[in-house]
Amino acid sequence: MNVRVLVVDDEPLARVGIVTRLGAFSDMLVVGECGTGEEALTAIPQVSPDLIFVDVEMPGISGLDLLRALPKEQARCIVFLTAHEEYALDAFNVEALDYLLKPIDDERFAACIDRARRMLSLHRQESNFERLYGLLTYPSEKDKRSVIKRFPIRLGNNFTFVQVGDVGWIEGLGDYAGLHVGGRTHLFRESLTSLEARLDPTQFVRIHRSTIVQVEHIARIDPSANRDAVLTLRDGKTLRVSRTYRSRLDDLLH
Amino acid sequence: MVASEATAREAQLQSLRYQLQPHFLFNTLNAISSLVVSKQPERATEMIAKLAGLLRTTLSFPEAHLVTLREELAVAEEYLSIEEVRFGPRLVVLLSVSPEAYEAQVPRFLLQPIVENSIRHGIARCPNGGEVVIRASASEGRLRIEIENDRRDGTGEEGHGLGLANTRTRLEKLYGEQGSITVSTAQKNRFLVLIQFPLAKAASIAS
Repeated sequence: MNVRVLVVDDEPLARVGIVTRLGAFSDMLVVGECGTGEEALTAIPQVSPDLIFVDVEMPGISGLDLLRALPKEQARCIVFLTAHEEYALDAFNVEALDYLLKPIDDERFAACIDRARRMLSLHRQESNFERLYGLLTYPSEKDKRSVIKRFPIRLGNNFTFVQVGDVGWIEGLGDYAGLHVGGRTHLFRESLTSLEARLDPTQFVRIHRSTIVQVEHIARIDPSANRDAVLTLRDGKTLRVSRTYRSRLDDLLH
Repeated sequence: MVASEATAREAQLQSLRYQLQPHFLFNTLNAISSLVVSKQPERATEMIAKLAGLLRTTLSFPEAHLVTLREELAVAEEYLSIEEVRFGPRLVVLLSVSPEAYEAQVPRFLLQPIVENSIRHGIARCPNGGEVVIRASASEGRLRIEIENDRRDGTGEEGHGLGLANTRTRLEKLYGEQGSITVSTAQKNRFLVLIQFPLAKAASIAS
């Protein structure tokens, strides 16, 4: 299925870089380019993009202002572009899907496209289901304070539970979390950061801005460049441990 | 001239800090990366050469603390041409320099911090872009240099402060009361810096 993409950056060449790279992915359809946040605010309701690449530092309406100004349903899948690493944290505070540092790394770009596809496909599954059953449930305020023992998940027509112990790792997908159980991914309507606070800290550990793993599922950890590390789960899945979260992992394992 | 050498170094270090800060350096590298992926190798290598030229000048430590305005403007033009590639049609650079002014002596790195500020605090904040105008003329034994840029309505002098203060100190040390730097914000969407000091030709100082 095609993904409609909008690219917003005040520097024309920065847009060329994103649009050209998107050309290598046959399902990515560029539906517009904007040079300012103001233009983007007008364009977004008109072209209804599935995925938006936005520069953080733009004159006038910045990338972060733009995301805050958009209704949630128009800003499901946003990727921030920035030359400053410190803006990356802000990007996650407003629950962007991802951020890319400039200059753009091709491998990192491909991983970002992959994330976007996964998130969009989960959204599509969910919205089909919503249309059929109108059964959407957000976690209530009370739920958000309590420790999670099992995740309520809808599978097709059924309402089932995923046991916390079965979840190998959890991936942050904007305001959703992807629960990886065996070979499957279930979409859970809660951000990774909110979810992290409801998980048993001796059982789960955050290893990356966008990843939480279950300690019991870790098979091995190998150091890599830049004081990062690569973690392998029992099912063979490898995940990156960023140096920011490295000490928490070490504390749990020693 | 130890004091003037020290202030020249200071101005140079300020420029170096600017060029190595993420906003300029990483965005410039990103523009080069875009030229490569979009198969424009000549423009990419041209921009790499410009960036290298700019960094080479900023990293060099020549003996002289005075250069001709021609040399000083060559650095500014190299810098501005990189910004022109980044900003595209959003940036218009205009230069108007009299032949006599070109050969005048100026303190090394006098203009660079002010030119960089004209982009960083001026054009980069204008969604629709604008002009940077550099004018220089010589008359009645004085050199007069103006750097003017468009800016967003209502933005003040914030950010310009350090660059202006350093330049003012330099001019004072070198020229005493004969040197001056003034800022005019008479037009709310323009920012104008005027620098004046006694005119000295290259040959007369070199000897």
